[in-house]
Amino acid sequence: HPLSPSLLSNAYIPVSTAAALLVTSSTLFFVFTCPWLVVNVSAVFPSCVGIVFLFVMANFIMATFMDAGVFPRANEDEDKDEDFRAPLYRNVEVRGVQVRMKWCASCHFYRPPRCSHCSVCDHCVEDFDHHCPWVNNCIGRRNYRFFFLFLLSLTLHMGGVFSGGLLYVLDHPENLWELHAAVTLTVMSVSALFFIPVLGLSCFHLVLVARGRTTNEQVTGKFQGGVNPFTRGCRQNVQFVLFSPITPSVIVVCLYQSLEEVDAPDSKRLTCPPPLPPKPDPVLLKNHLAALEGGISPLVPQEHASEPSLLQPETHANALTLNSRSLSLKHSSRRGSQRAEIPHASQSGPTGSLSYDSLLHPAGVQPAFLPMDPGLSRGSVDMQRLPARNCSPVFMHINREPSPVRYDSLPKPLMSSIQERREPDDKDKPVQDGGIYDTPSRHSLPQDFRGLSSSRGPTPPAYGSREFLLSSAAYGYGSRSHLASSSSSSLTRAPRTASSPLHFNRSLSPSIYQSLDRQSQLPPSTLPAPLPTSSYGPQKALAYIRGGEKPEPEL
Amino acid sequence: MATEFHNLQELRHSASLANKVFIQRDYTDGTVCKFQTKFPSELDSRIERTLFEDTVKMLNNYYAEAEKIGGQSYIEGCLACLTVYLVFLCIETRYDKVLKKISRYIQEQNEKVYAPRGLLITDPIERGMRVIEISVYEDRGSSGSSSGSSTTSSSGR
Repeated sequence: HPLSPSLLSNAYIPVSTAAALLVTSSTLFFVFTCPWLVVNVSAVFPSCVGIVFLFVMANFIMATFMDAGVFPRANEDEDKDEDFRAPLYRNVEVRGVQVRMKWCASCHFYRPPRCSHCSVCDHCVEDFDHHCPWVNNCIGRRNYRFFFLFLLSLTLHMGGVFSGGLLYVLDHPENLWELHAAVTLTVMSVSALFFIPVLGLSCFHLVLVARGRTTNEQVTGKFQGGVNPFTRGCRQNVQFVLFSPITPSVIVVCLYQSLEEVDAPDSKRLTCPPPLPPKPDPVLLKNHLAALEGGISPLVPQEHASEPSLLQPETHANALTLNSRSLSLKHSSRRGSQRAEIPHASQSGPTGSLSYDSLLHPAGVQPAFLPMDPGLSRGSVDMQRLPARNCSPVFMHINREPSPVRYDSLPKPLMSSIQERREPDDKDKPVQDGGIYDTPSRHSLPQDFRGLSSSRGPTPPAYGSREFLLSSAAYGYGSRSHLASSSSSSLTRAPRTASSPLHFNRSLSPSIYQSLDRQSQLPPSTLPAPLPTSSYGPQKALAYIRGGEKPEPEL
Repeated sequence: MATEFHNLQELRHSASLANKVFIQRDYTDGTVCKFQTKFPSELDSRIERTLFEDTVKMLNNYYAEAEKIGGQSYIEGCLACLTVYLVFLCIETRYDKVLKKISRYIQEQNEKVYAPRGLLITDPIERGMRVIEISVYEDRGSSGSSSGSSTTSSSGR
């Protein structure tokens, strides 16, 4: 089931190339050209280039690793109403303009406005811009500014490197074969080669930012004839891109909760809802971290082992739906904890409002509540053992500590079991289908997420950019072990086949077929004005086919 | 006629999830985080309209405060640039602080308002900031109705 090495490397080639080129060229510039520049031109110039280079690298890393604003898949119970009768589209009015929200078959919710599903990463991204292969990540709401600044600073950097090299070469025209000059010439040519495309892309994104559009919207011509309801004016748009607060990474919150809920009963027993988190103890934290690392590894086999047993009391349909969750770890742990939680609730100390406690403690894992049928939860309460109970009890303390705990050392198998990543095999085939735009995805890092568990007693750890590291592990490079056969079904609303029972897609249910029928029956008049029409090419082709159009494009 | 769960000690075993109500996002102002204050019909018999609307409005205010582009967000943005984003490792941004406030607020609301009525609010962040999930609990023991019919019974009341 794991990805073959060749497929794995396909996704990494552009980003590795970009990173290598950038670092190597810049290093050569600093080593071979800058000493002469410092002496013969000025010290300011190379130091400026150095600062800009630092900025380029920082933005590159952030764009590569930051979570673009991924929406986690919806729980089963959220869309049970939508199952058989729900339309494929739901209209909503945004600032007076009708916007159509499409049902995402993979994620099981109606995509918020500007959200799109990336087929390479196989998740929905908020304010989806595009999937950039050069950073191997989706660009969306949370990391667009880093990508944008990366482009701008890279343009500046390349200009600086080229100019510095030019100054050197012009001063040493006679010994161009000498090492320093040769290296400088090489670096100059690399800069010159990539300068035009990068400059072009920077200008393109400058225009996009000014107009308040995403690449997705621009390329699909969404606001071609109509008005863009998301723009706030040029100045406000720029302000929004550069200075809006970074929203939390929800995907990491959910991941975090799934890990936390594994030990939920124990933690519940230990805490009544405290008003404030306890002060972190560094030594304790170190022990916790060690225990966490040790405790997580057995977690994975536990989860998978417990899945079959959890399935037994369930009906076939529910087993399928339960299996359909991509975050299998999250859901299996939640299921288990949900089941095991109810008997524990009776043991929790009766303090204060009993009603709150009794609801709170089982509901502490409420976000994880999976089975819709109450009979399921009732039936298997005593039978199901909480998966990975043998995690060190220290583990649960970590969840309550507000101080940052570094999760970057979480074992890869855990992360890969959590992540369901699509093969990047169709990244070269962008399919434009009613608003689904796929480009090879990037990895994403969650920035300062806050693991909130309002309904839980234990306080989640503080947000911080350490969770940045967690999601990089969870969401990024460590988690390539997903289905090879996940086809482009997430794009085309066709049922998605899964090679693993864990990832059995619910879209095989009849609802999808019905929704397909419904969509084909939708009269065009019901579609709102800003249709996600295809780009110019197919439109022109259509025009030609109709025969009545002029063959010459009117530009 | 809301079901009162004054003393759930003997009913704790039997409190079971009957239904979930999802409060969707309100996109009329764009992609800012804002939830609809429309009162869902499923909660008609469970909680007073004003209490519910107050909760949602308060949450909307919190999110608006978190996403406000103003002095502090400018400072954070500039600081982030200057420190090559290392500042994110050290400080807690204003958004984070507001999220904590929201978490505490929801906890408090659950404790004071919703749990006595057999409801429970889930923090939207656990649902990807797309919905506010309100779990409706039905007491199996006292009402004598199975959870299968609890939906009808709760709406029928």
